[in-house]
Amino acid sequence: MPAVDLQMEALERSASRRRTFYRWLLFLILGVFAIYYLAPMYVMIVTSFKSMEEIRKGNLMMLPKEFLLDAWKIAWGGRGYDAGDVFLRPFFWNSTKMVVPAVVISTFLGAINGYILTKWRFKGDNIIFLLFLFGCFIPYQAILLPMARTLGALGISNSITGLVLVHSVYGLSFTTLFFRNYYVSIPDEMIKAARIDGAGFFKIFFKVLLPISAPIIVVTVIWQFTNIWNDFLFGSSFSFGEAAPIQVALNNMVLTSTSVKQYNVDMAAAFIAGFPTLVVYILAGKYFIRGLTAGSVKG
Amino acid sequence: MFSWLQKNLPKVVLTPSFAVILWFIYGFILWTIYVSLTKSKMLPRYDFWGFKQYIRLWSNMRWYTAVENLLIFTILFVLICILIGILLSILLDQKIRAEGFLRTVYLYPMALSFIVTGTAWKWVLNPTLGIQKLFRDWGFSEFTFDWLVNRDMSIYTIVIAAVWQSSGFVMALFLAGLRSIDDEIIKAAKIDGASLSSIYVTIILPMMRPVFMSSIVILLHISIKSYDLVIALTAGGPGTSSDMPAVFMTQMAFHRSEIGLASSSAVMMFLTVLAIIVPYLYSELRRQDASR
Amino acid sequence: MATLEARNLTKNFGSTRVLRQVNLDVSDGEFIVLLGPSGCGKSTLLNMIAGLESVDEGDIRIDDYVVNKVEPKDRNIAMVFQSYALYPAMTVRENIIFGLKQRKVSKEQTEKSLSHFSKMLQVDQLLDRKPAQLSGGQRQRVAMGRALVREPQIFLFDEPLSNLDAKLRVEMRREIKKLHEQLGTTMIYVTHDQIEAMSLATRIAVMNEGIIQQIGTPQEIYDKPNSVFVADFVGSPSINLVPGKLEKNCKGFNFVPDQQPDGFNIPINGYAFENSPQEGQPVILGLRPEHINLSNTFQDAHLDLELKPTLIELTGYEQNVTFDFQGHEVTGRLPRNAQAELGSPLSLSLDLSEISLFDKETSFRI
Repeated sequence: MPAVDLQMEALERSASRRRTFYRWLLFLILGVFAIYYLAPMYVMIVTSFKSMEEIRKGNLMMLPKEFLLDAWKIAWGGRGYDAGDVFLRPFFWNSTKMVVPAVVISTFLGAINGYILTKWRFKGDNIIFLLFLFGCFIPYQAILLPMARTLGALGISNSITGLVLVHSVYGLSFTTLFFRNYYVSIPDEMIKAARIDGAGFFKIFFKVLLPISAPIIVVTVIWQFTNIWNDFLFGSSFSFGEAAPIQVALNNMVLTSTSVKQYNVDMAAAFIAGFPTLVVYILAGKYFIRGLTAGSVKG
Repeated sequence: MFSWLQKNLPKVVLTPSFAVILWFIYGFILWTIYVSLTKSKMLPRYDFWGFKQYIRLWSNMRWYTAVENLLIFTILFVLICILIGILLSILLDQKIRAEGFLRTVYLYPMALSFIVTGTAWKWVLNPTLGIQKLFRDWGFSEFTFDWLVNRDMSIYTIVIAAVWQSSGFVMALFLAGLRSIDDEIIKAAKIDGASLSSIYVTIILPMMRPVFMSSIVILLHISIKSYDLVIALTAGGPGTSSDMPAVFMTQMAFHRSEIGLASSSAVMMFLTVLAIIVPYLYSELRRQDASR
Repeated sequence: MATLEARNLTKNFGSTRVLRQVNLDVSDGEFIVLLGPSGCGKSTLLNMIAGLESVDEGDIRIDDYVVNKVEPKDRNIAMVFQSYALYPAMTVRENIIFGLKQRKVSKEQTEKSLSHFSKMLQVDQLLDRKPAQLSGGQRQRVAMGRALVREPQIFLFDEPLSNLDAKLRVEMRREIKKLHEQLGTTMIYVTHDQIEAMSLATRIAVMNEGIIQQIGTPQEIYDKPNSVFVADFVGSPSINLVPGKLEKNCKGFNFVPDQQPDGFNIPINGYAFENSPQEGQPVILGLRPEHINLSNTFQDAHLDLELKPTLIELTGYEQNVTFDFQGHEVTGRLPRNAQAELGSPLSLSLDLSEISLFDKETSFRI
């Protein structure tokens, strides 16, 4: 059957030709996008190692002639004179002191809330969950003013403690949502078995559920860490001067560069401010993505 | 007494969290709504003033600019993010070897704050030393790019940076959606003779409806709340040309001593979000119930 | 008219060898069932025939033409999947005619095929519904309809019935059988269910660990399994397997079970050896439960003995009785009126014309 043979051969050839063409096109498009996403980071890094003179002479994409650390030193530790010198070191520690307790508190409360809302169902629990859930979506502008007044009344405005409170409260919606969705998928039989074995409310939580919650704890901690570290709205509304977190300090630094813009310092500072979340993302990208798709909201 | 506690222990433990949520979210929102109906300036006053703040708000040119900017920004931001997200997720779904690496690259901006994003893009888009100089060095001597300081174009620089920051996220959502599709459906379509492009257009994308829905809702939500990026990139400028409602609100609240006006703009934002979220949550919960 | 030939097919997923040198010949109009446990490579083989998996080594020929690199759509095949794989966003009608549309079949022809096959499968009332609104059985029918309207040269089935409940499964099985008799098209069918395989196939290929263990008619597979694996996989309740060794006697050989104190043995003089047996060779004797019955049941060569029941399972029509045979459990299929009682010895008879013997080391039939 030569006719059939020829026809089949043609089909074979065209199939493989098409395949190679599309393969190339595919990698071309993917490559172009990779460059688009990487370029600003590249520019940021090379700029931070240049001198201002080199920045003015060259262009964005050029590699530095030599890798100077001056900008990094200034961004982190300042120039050594006091008036109006903004540098990141103290604010980096501010943010750390703010993030750690806020993450721990909101994650722990979220876990226990999720546990109650799934394993100790009671009348109206769905409505309560909905009220929690809705907190993920509200625009924070709607609570900004009363929050400022409340912090003032509590005597913790413009303090790290105040920001810890704010982030713990508004993180609660997300952490409760995460844990609730995770615990829903854990069979109720496990709880029943533990109750028959004589375990009580807290024992079941600490001995049965928490030990199998590692994945969702990681997701939640990463989510909370990223959001709180990256927060600017609360930081800039409720703190100024020495109590500010790092994002606020970065913004001030970029805005208040004295006479001449120090782009190399700005870039080094931006990198320092973004570094912790970037590291978390690279080390635990899987959990980061899971948080994004599970929470499905950027706070 | 003890047995009562035993029986109600879960509720007792939940109560503090719930009280916090009630007070700090719902109580505060009510407070803001109330203050938006008063004459409050520097300090809150509690005498009712009707809807006069809203009238003031909607006759304020700056607010109009902010709303108009929000519309432009939202439409472009949502549209471009979805297009890029779909494109990249489909391409990444073609069983390519470098998938893990590329996914990491496309998504990493999401880990950076809007302030860092804004700072980086402010430098890249710098009208003298940034992208303009780059292209001139490459031989396009007439190339100008001054959007950052151009009143008509500054809002688009925010779109550029925001798309860079968030489009990878949409990619991740769609990729997760694509991966959840039964492999056999695609096999069946291949045997039925559908080309790859028509498999995606006629079979897979229609199945992605829920992903479309949640991506759009999330992007809308990000855009309505967008504040940090504007501050870091243009600070609302030049002038007020790239103002957004969230910027307007904080300006009025903390710099102009217009608490009443600020509250009314916050309420407008809140209502907008409500109009998007409530139908979404409703349909989402119904879908979950149906599949249970 | 379509024949299919697989020559030395090999497939690797990473370092795991999923198929090793598989050979299969399917002549026109046959109903071949690929039977095996999960992970044996049967679905991979089917997917390779469909063109959904690439071929690492070897050839697949359809009508004598090597199709290794031909796209699935150009192989003129249709396939029914385990999950039915209906397109959720399309109506039943759109699902069924989707393949015809891709092939640019004329409108009239499409309508004609649609109405013919949808009536045949009794889904003509459901054409405007979406898959989500159908029951499992209806989805199954639509999936079949989608394959049928294409009128392909070869039908491929990938465990099409395993998502149905037991009753529907039997019903659909019968319909598939009728369909094959009506159309006479070549069909290749993957399943792990031996009853499906026995009742549908013209020939069964039993697969394990990427190799076709045995290929033959259902009767051959059942009566003369060529390895312990095939013997054990086919048949329910499972075949009785007793280890022992061969001992010469004056006429031929005796089978002596292991751990046999008192010189008990089973004469197997009538057994048709395929290889030359050796004195003292360690073997496994296989005997299906229906060949253990009350004494005086069998006319041909048989062995009478008394055994104590340890478990009695009534199946309705008959009873499966498990006995203790020198520390081994053996099961017999007894009529339901047999007076079996736990612990009280029962006179039984073994049908020696139906035994199978396997080499203990290679586990192949001897």
